[in-house]
Amino acid sequence: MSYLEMQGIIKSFSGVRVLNEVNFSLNRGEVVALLGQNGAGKSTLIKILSGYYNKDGGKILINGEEVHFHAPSDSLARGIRVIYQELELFPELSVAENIFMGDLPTKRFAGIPIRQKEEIEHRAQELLELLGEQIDPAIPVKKLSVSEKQVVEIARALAKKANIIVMDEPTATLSQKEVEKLFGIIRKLREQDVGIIYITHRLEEVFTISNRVVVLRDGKNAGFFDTQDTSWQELVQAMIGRSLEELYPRRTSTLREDRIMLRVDNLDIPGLLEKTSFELHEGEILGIFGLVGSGINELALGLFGALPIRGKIEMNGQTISIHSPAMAKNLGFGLIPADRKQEGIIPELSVMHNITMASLNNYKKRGFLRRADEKTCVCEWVDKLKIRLHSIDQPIKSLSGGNQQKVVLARWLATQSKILIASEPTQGVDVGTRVDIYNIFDNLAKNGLGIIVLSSDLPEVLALSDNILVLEGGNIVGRFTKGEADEQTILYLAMGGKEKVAN
Amino acid sequence: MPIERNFFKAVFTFITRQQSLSMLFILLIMWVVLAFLSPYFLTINNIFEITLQSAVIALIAAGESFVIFSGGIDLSVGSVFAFSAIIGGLGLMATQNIFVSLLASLGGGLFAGFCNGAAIVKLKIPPFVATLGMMGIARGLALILSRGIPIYGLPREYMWIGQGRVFGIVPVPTIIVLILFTVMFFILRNTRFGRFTYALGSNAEATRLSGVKIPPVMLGIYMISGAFAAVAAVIESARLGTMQPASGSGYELLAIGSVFIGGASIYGGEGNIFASLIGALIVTTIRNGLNILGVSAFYQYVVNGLIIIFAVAADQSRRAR
Ligand SMILES: Nc1ncnc2c1ncn2[C@@H]1O[C@H](COP(=O)(O)OP(=O)(O)OP(=O)(O)O)[C@@H](O)[C@H]1O
Ligand SMILES: [Mg+2]
Repeated sequence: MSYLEMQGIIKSFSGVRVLNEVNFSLNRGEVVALLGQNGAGKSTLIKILSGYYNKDGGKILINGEEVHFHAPSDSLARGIRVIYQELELFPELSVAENIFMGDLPTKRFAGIPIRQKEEIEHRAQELLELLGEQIDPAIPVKKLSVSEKQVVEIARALAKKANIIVMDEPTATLSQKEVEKLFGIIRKLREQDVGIIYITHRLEEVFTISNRVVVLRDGKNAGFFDTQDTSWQELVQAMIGRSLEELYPRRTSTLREDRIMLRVDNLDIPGLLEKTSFELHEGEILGIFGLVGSGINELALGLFGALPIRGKIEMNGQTISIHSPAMAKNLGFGLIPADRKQEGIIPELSVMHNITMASLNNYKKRGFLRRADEKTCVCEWVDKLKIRLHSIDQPIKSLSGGNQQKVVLARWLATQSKILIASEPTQGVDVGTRVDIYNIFDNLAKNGLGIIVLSSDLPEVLALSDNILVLEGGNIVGRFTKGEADEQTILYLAMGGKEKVAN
Repeated sequence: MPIERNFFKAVFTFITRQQSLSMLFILLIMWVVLAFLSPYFLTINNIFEITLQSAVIALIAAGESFVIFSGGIDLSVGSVFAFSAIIGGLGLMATQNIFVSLLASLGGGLFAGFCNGAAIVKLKIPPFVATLGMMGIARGLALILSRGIPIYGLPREYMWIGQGRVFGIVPVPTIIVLILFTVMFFILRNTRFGRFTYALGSNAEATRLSGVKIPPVMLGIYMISGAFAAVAAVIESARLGTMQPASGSGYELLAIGSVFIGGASIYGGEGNIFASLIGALIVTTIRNGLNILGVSAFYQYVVNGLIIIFAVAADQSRRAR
């Protein structure tokens, strides 16, 4: 009998069963990877463990004793801490206040609790240093990048002593360096007898960090493995029910040297990006790799007119100016933003309305939108990207994380953009669909689109790109063409050339 | 867990999920109860009286719906109501032409809404503050322009708008309400503007990054709110045969209450304009019922305040899971 046992867990949403008699177990001091396609039910299983959802059937046992969680506080009381896929920080509060939210250390003055800014900031600093991060604990969280927010979220869970820590795709938006740090911390936690449930779509991580693997498919158990005795092929087979040739398919087209679509000259975003120059050709996929705070997100937003920029931009030989996203869109740009929750999804709107948000002009007749036309387009993309849903009219917030990402992708794939700026396009997307997305990008490039992929996922950048730029501290520190790029050098440069890369 | 508890929970969930449906149900129950309490209630006359009385609040609520769906709030509707009434009255006195008067009223409402929208977009102040300012400004202008004196002596044709009956039975305001609500329903559902209204309320940044020009949408939303306050003002002026600079005060409370009773979220992003109509009918029925039962009009403010609080509380509990 394991420390944690979940037996025969059942859960339905509005009549649709999303978990069907799922079993799961975890011992203290081990890391169990929970795998499955987008919408397989991983997050739902975790939310039942954390008391966020009530289960419709099944049992949860801790130490052999049955427990009933009706609210997150019940589960917290049993030492279970969850770092959710969709970050849940308070944007206006400082980093330190977020980390100690719920148990702010207080001193009392005449019986009245007073805030101790210095002390919590000091303790936050220690935790962040443990994570190897240099984030000022006094600044508000809204000023942080996605990855920095993630680090804060991890620090927040670390601040609380836990027997079981659940990490729901903690690395979806972290780059290699942070991932390695995170693994260091996970190993330490493991030594301290903490059990860890680790959800990810990056198979390499499973082999680095986990002891066992549990695979879900369509809300059912699809396999239990010891990490030592399995292979990625076997895991993929269990996850998607078929085998994949390659995780990173080859490009089938090349760029057109003679056609420069976009020439960016000395682009400046005050304080964030300096003198950035590059060219994008017709049919080119330009990969821009950078770590946390390197400026890749800002570059994407700046090119799309969402941040004020200085510098010269030429499109097809003509100088253009971009002052707003609406302008950028009219010029033929599309943007898949990095921060899905803040910048991507429109939560209350239906999946269909989310997909058609950027292409409504296509479904308009005499000023009125035609539902039938919208539907045709939407169904096509739901199909191509294998978006799992009950109905295209359900609100996007009820989709699983990876499926939300696919909807945001579909929004721009449904437009007739000529230049696609894709920031972390495959974050949280399962391996099977990821291959589909790479193939779609390859196809778009073949049809003459220019695509800029800004990503902290190095294997992705290496596999997709014709040319690669490395961004560090708001500066371009390396330029490679496909053949000459190698992982070690790029990482070395991306880290500022200061640290030697491990391994 | 005992089955009964689950059952009641399921019923409760259903009711709170389908707020607009359950509100229609509550409205019907209210009518039945009132019919038992007072033989006068369920007379054709009183039913039309209710639709007539609710027309003014319903129209203001229609404009307010756009604002609330977009995640904002318009506190100025009661004052804009008086402002556009007075503008229309002055236009009428100056020209003796009804159409000039109607256009002047509408123009006044649109202008006030434009100023609200411009303040929000250009000065980047929250809707709450912008429209609170307008609440004072528009009321002040109404008093200044009329020198504090009501305008009387409306021509019979003008009064037809508020008092006329089509086929000798259906009040003109009731017809105006039905037509305008239907039109607005289609605008919200089947136009880009309507889609953007909801999108703004749900996630403004993601909407902007979808390439939507926010400022014109924002201006449009607040201008619609102003315009509906003006239409409501015309109907009330026509009904009472006078334009009063002090009219419409407290109407923002009733209109906002109607929208929330209809199940709209205070955070925006969702809501149905016909649900706001049901909300307006409920608010009016309560008023009418209290009247018939002989309860002092002063209590009505208390009841309306309570309604807003409970409508939003129901929304919050629905959102909690
Ligand atoms: N609140 C909800 N209402 C309705 N359906 C839901 C809700 N939450 C989840 N679902 C559905 O349950 C299924 C499982 O979702 P879940 O979030 O557990 O997937 P997941 O395995 O975590 O996927 P991902 O890898 O994309 O995060 C999905 O089909 C999803 O649409
Ligand atoms: Mg998930």
